[in-house]
Amino acid sequence: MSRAQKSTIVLFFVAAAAGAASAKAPPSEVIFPPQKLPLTFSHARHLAKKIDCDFCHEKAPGSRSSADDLIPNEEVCATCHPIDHQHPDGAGAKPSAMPCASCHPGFVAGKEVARVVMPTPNLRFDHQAHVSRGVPCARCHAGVERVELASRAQLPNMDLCLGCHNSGRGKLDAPSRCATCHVTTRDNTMETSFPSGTLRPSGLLRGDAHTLDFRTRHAAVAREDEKYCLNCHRQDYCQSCHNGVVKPFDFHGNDYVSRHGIDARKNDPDCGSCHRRQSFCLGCHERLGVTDGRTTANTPFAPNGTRKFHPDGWADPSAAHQPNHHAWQAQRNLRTCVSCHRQETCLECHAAQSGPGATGKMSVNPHPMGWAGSQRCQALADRNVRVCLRCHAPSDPELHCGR
Amino acid sequence: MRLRFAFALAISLSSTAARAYDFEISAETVGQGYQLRAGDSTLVNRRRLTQYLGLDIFNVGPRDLLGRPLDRNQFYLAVSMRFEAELGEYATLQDLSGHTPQRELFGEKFDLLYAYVGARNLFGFVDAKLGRQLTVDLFDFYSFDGLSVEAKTPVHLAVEAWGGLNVSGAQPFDSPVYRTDGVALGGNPTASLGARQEDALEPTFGVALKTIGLRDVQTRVSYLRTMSFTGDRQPGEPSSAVLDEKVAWTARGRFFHGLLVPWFGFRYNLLVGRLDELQAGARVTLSPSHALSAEYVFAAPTFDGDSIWNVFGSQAFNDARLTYDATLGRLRLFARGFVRLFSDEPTSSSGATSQTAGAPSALSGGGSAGARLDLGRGFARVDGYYEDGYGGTKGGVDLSGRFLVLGDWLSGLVLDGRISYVHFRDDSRTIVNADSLGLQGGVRYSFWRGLTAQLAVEENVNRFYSSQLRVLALLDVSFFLGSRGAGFARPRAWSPAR
Repeated sequence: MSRAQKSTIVLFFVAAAAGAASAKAPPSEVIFPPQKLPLTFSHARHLAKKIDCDFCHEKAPGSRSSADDLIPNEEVCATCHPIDHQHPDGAGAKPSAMPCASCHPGFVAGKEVARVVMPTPNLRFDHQAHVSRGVPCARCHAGVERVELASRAQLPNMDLCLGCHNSGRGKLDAPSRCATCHVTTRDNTMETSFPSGTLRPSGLLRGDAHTLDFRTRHAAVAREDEKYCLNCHRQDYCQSCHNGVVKPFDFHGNDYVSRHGIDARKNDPDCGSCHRRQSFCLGCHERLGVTDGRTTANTPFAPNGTRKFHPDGWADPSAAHQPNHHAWQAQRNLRTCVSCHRQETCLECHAAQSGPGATGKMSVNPHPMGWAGSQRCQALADRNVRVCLRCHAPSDPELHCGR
Repeated sequence: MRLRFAFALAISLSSTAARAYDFEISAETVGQGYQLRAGDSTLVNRRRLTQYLGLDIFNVGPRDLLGRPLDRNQFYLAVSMRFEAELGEYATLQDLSGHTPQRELFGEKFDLLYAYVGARNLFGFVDAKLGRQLTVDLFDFYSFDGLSVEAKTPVHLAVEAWGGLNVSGAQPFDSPVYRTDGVALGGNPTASLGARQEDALEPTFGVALKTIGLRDVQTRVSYLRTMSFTGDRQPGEPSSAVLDEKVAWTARGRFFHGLLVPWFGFRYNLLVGRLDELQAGARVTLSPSHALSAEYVFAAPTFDGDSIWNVFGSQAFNDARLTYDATLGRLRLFARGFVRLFSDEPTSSSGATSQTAGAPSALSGGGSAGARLDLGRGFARVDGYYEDGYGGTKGGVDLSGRFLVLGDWLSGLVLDGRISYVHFRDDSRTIVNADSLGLQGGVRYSFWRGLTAQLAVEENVNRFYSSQLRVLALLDVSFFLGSRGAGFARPRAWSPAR
């Protein structure tokens, strides 16, 4: 590894640490839709007076649904703050009564009080289950003792939830299944479409943020833990592309037929993740007569055909070291070759002359340098010697890879 | 009296639970029409009709008093079938038989894509599937007929085991898309190894050990082996041989509350004694709106064990990729760049390398960027890209968008569109170079939730075609019925814009 490469890696992780120190994820707006809280209230002052949370939020300890309204109503406030509706300016007979505007900013007598809007969260939550296990309110509503009016910022994000919801193996025996907290559909996948928006992974759990280009690079996550993806997607969703017979219009954009060969040679995106080259690609190429025809029929691209696909000198034995020769091109990207050719094409020249599959005319050695005696030779000969016998005779000492 | 009432209640509840399950039937009909240029430059009409049929039964198992399925001991069934018919033409070339022997593109073909019975959380620790099933992991995207079991232990570990017959194109109603490359079916010369092994059964099995329920670490170590018995053995041939044997290890971590997520994947191909895949990367969340991802990928080509191409010299490639993405309110954007470096592996008879005079550089690269603005009733998106190096050059710009005309996204009228410009130049076949202008348009109408019709058209103009029309029509019907009330399932859809 060069010094420049090391420096790049170090810089990346320094940036990571700097980012980690500065970023803090707020709760999702899809899970907790934006609220309107036209109130003046100080949680800090109330908690500083050692007032228990359930003194005001009296329904919270027994609540079993996130749809429950747990915000204290006026009667609860009036327990300590006498309210005189007849004298909203607080100048009435009750000396301790506060003006309405002290809690309802902008209050004007005779006009409707601005309403609190607190949409139902799009998740399952059982306050009772948490309270009964001794989870203090501040564990989930962290920082509420330091703020004036608590808001969405004091609601938990998923990172906090997962601190305890760890597959039932922690002290609290809390399950980590998505459906424990998330709303599910009838088929047990997660509901992701809400009036407040589409629920997408933030990337803070698995680095799988569903960004604009996630469709082109989701493989790393999916191949690592398929079950994780299946929490939201059913297999038919994956299969609609990965066993595709219908072109995804965005993935294979306009005029893709004309230019697909370039992508195939670059293997970007990876053709093999949706199309097998020796069935899908080869099948279509054979149908259209753009293969060499050795094993199917005499097409225009057959060796004695009327048209040429590859440039001059492509199969000239005397020019095997030239970059325009098929040997070099095959080394660079053998996968591309197999989308038009079968093994028999290669065997025509590359097979040893003495073996049972000895159709080879020239016995041109296709092995990489140092193959005989290499670990690769031994591994293959130990596990599948029959493929070696396509070119080599059973008595050929080279079958033993130098052992 | 109280006892009798309790007994009656228990009978009533248990019988309800026994009957209760949810099921979904879905059907998707896709018709496509387009033209391709054949080897003799004539145009060949393709008319393809594809019919999907799906049946799912969910939540067969015990329920609570409110009728909700319990977490344990739930069974389910998943079936997906596909019938594909080619109603168009074949190239009418001299001596070409017309019907390709490739199993992928038979004129009419029925595929059982998957069909399995599953059990979830049996006795609180076992998941299982029995039947034709799909799996994706670092080994591949593959399918087999058999049994897979996952047993969870109390110590954050689970053991997986699976076995059965590989779906390879040789079995009834299977899809050849799962057959490993290197041994094309059909057209093999009589008595060749390919012909003898063409319909051979391929027993396969695998095991894996993985972590579960850990928030900050996921890792999995797995092993897979597939083999086949030799048909009509020839002198020197073994009675069986390995077609695929790999070990893989993946790991993912989570640090600083998820702001740094690194991952790693490693696959060693025991069959050919070669590391054939390696990936490592990390995503860094720089702020709630900005993130950076870096990734390294190594890949070397390997094939089915019966393929001679495993013994050919072939270059692996190394990719380094860097992606920035941001979400700024309703605006989402990304920028991505990559560099690719090929590793030389010259053969004994050629000896050519990347340093050979005139050889294309071992280095290539490119980049892309895009932005999408979400609006109340749709979105607008712009994408640009450029790549150069081995394979050729391609660069272009796409403008796309979607607009909800009537109703909502699941039951309404939606319009899609895309305008594309692309320049491309193949570095090997220099004749393949053009500037192309394309238009895509789509209309999707959901009559109500679960019944959707869609029409999409694509038209392209370049120096090879003055017109290249492609038409796709789709009808999607999904119906859900269950213990929690009837409803229509979410339709799948194909759209020009994303």
